[in-house]
Amino acid sequence: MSMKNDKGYILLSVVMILSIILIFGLTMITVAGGEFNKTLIQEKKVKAYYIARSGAIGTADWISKMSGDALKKFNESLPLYSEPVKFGEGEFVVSIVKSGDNLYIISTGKVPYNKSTVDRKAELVMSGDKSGDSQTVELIAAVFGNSSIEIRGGTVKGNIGSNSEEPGSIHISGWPTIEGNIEALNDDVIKVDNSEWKKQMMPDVEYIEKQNYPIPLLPEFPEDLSEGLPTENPESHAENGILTVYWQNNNTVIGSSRYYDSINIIQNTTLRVDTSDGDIVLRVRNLNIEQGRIEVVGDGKLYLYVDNNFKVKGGINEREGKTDNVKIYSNSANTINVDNETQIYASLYSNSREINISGSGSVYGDLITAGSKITINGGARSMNIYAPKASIDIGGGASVTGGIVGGSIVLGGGCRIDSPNKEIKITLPDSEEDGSSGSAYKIAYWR
Amino acid sequence: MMHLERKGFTLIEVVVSIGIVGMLAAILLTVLSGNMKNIFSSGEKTRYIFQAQENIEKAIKNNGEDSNREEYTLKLEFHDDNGEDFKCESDGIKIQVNLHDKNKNTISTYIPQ
Repeated sequence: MSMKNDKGYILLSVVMILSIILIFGLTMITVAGGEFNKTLIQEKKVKAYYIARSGAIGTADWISKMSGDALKKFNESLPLYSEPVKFGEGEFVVSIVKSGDNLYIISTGKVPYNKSTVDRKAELVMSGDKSGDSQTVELIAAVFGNSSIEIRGGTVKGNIGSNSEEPGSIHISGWPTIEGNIEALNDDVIKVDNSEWKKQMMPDVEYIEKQNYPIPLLPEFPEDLSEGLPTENPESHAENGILTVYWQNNNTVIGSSRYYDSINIIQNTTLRVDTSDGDIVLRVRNLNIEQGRIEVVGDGKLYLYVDNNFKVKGGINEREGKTDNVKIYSNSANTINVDNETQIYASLYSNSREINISGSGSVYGDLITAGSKITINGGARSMNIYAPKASIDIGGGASVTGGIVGGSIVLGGGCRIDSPNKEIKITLPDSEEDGSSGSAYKIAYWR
Repeated sequence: MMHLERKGFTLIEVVVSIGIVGMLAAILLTVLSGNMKNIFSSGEKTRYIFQAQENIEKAIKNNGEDSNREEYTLKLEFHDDNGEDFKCESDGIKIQVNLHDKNKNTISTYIPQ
């Protein structure tokens, strides 16, 4: 091999090495340039996201404040699409679509970049407020009958009133004592049989606007509860979701939320619900307290949902005399009888057609029902009764401390209605609001 | 002997080589140094973006306190498939958070009140 042929190799070597360095360098340049570009795009994306977020949250705020006719029209017009709105360095457009009970607010933010735009979406879900927020109704009278009120005797401490325009729908017969005003739409609705009573005892008449007392609805019953034995008492007699408390397993404790096919309490025994670790939700198809009680211990609340039978002979939460820590929702259509020594210290929300409270049986808490009849005879109890379509008959010396809203109300037989607080507010879990086809929406989560 | 006949690099070869290497190295270094700057500023920018995101999330949580805020009414016009219009208004505040202390580059968002 002749070394003469090696002439000029240094140039070739230099060019080759430089080419490699050049390729390496150019790659670095490309990568670095790309990274820089990505960073700039990332900056624009962040800006676009917060612009999109502004559109979504602003729209949600507008929707959450809607009610009545506006909400109805809104629901009927979905889906809705917005015009572009300038905000910050860019703009956003919003679309609102409905799926099931949920509203989806999809907002797209756009920020200019070079000759194009960088887009980012923000999606906000609003849930239909069907069972969530409760509604509070205010009572303007101690006794208020939506369609009529008849007072045959007894004493009413507070106003009486009616929503009816029917002549004679506020009917006063006998010799009752009314320590308050009559709230009426006009004079014609008031009928007084006894002219002497009218002369001596007739209360002042206050003219009112028609009051809106919506029909109460039960909230949706919980679906995701576990079924089975109460783990706190593995020896307890609960099989196939049926828990029976009797002398052998007296004082059985339930310490967590559960679903039962039925709970039977017999032989004057006690089922304890321990809310020390937080609120407890129990759903039971049939609650049958033959003889015994449910006792609630702890600082939490008990929410008791009953699907079918609701039978109580004994007590619920009577130990401390509190009523605000237990709420019972009964979907039973059967008649509920609260009689003899039965004491319920809880708010009772019911769909039963008929509720009878007699003897010394009592519900010490709000009694709220969409049912059609309530009869109260004898004894004393402290509660508000909200049953806007029920005929309510109170007599036999019954004494009720609280306000009453009913359909047609008859007071007689030496009853006493004592409404110590002029302003009575009753909280409904949900209601059939007249004239509105939709319920409000509230922000659920960002997607 | 063969090795006696071997010649070294000529002066011209060496000069031309050094020249080429020098020129290319100069160009490459210039470009690379520019890119190094970009790489560093990318890193810095990324840090600023994350910081700004953190700040704006904080500002959203505490209602824009301790940040640049102004009262703002967000107005939108919606229309449905039939062309019916809905006017949406929401009163709240506009929050601006700086992306960089040295310039006026900001992220803006709105929260209703």
